[in-house]
Amino acid sequence: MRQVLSLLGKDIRLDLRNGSGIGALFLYVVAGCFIIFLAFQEITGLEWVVLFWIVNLFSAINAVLRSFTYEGLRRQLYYFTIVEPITALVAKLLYNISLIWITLLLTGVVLALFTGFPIVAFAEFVLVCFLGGIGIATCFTLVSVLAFRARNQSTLTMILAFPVIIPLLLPLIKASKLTLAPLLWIDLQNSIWMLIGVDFILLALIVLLFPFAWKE
Amino acid sequence: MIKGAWWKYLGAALVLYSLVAGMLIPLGPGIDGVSPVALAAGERHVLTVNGYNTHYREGDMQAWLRLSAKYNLAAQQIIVQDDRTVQLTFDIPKKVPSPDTVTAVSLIVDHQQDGLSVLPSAIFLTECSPSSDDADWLLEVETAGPQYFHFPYRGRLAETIRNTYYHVPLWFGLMIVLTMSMIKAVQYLHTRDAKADHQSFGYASSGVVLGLLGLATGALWAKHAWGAYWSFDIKQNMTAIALLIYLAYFILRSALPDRDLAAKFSAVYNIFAFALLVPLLYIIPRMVMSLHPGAGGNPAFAGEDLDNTMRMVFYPAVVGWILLGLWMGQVHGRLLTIQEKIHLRTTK
Repeated sequence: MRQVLSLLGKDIRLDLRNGSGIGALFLYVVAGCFIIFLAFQEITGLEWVVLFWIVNLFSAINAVLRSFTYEGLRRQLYYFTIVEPITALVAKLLYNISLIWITLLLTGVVLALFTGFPIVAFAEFVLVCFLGGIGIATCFTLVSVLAFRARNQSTLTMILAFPVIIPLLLPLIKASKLTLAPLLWIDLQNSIWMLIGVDFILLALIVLLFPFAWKE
Repeated sequence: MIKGAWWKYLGAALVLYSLVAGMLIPLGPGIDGVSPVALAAGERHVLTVNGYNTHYREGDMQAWLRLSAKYNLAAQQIIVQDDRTVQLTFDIPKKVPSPDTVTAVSLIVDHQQDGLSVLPSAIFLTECSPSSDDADWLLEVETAGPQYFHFPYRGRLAETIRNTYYHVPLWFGLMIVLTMSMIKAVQYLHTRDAKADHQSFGYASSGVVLGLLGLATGALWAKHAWGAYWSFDIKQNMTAIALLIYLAYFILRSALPDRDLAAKFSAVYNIFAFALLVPLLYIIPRMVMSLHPGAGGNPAFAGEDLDNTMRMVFYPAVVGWILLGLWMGQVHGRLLTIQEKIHLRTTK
């Protein structure tokens, strides 16, 4: 457990020290939202939801990719020798999930600044984002580990990641659309269970498969 | 796995059989249309009936309206106009043994040579007076069975019902072949035996081929049944996404420079892709309203979807495509093994 925390701390400190990571994330989010604002002066709730998730997706891929490529291969080898793969995985996952949650928050705030905040059922929306963040982070972590050693790393990550994220994205968008109006819990229940289900599948997969990829 | 090559020949033979039988066996007689559709009770009406695959001119026929198993009304007069058109005259009594003033009845035509054809809920009887006086509606009907071996005629589907023999078995094949691919991937991760990795790749490529064929047959059917090749139906979309995920598998393999790395990572991705395949193809479409048979809460294959004549072609087709898919996968896997061996030998 302590190892997880120390790895996590290391990652956070590294990122804070070198502003480019967080800066790039911020830039992606703000630039994306700004383009949206310029393109559509007024957007309806439905468009807001979809664009919210799309901007998030792009920023998330960038964020997760960065967290892997930042350290060189030799450093990764060093980590391999000192910690269990599961420990490294948990640390990486926690870090990426927090990163994605921050991205979500940032996107929400910036998009709201530009185009308003049409979400009515706020608590439910937060729940959806919470679950969605876990799912997106897990999925992209797994994909970037696989693409890590490829020649065109970022392109390959994109190619691998986008089809794979769709079964997560569909319930996310569906659930978010529902939160645009005051809603009954029962309407949302189906989507929430679906999200929890997909999150579980992704988490189980990454726990099972990460050790194999880590050895490289 | 299985000794010998007999299963390969069996697979090819079964697929060939399903192709020939599925396409050549004729459809049974059916009723294409009836007009007029709404008849007022208590009057005499003349119905014009259009048949499908019928030969009204040859042989005798009887026709009746069926309210329920017990209540049927025979036609007063049957005038055959040509092989596919007939005029039926019905004297509909005012009193109808049904609780509503508007009742739907089915039209049944029994022809000596063609056999039985039914159009369910063909006619609406309006202005009925509900009554328990049912003397007019009691009719003993005796039907001869089907006169020749044929597939059922199911309304608008008509000849496209044959699609069931190709479209559905392809998906059965896909599931089995991709499961094999995943099993080989797991095996590779356990044993690091390169052959397992090659086989996993072979089965994956065979699975993708079956999937593409399945999408193509589905699109052809959709053109007739739904009006467009691609209607962004949820099942079509999800299947396309699943195939994209598997295509990304091939891209991953080619993008990693080191062979061992490629094998290992693609095995991991294979398992990942398979775990996503199941919810994509089977769970999400069931949850959403869709045109596809078997969506919106219904099981994909209800008891009424096949009748016994269709089963005779359908089950062999399923087995045939599974065997054929596995054979193709095996061959492709072996091809890769040989290519690797040659590559190793020439680059030494």
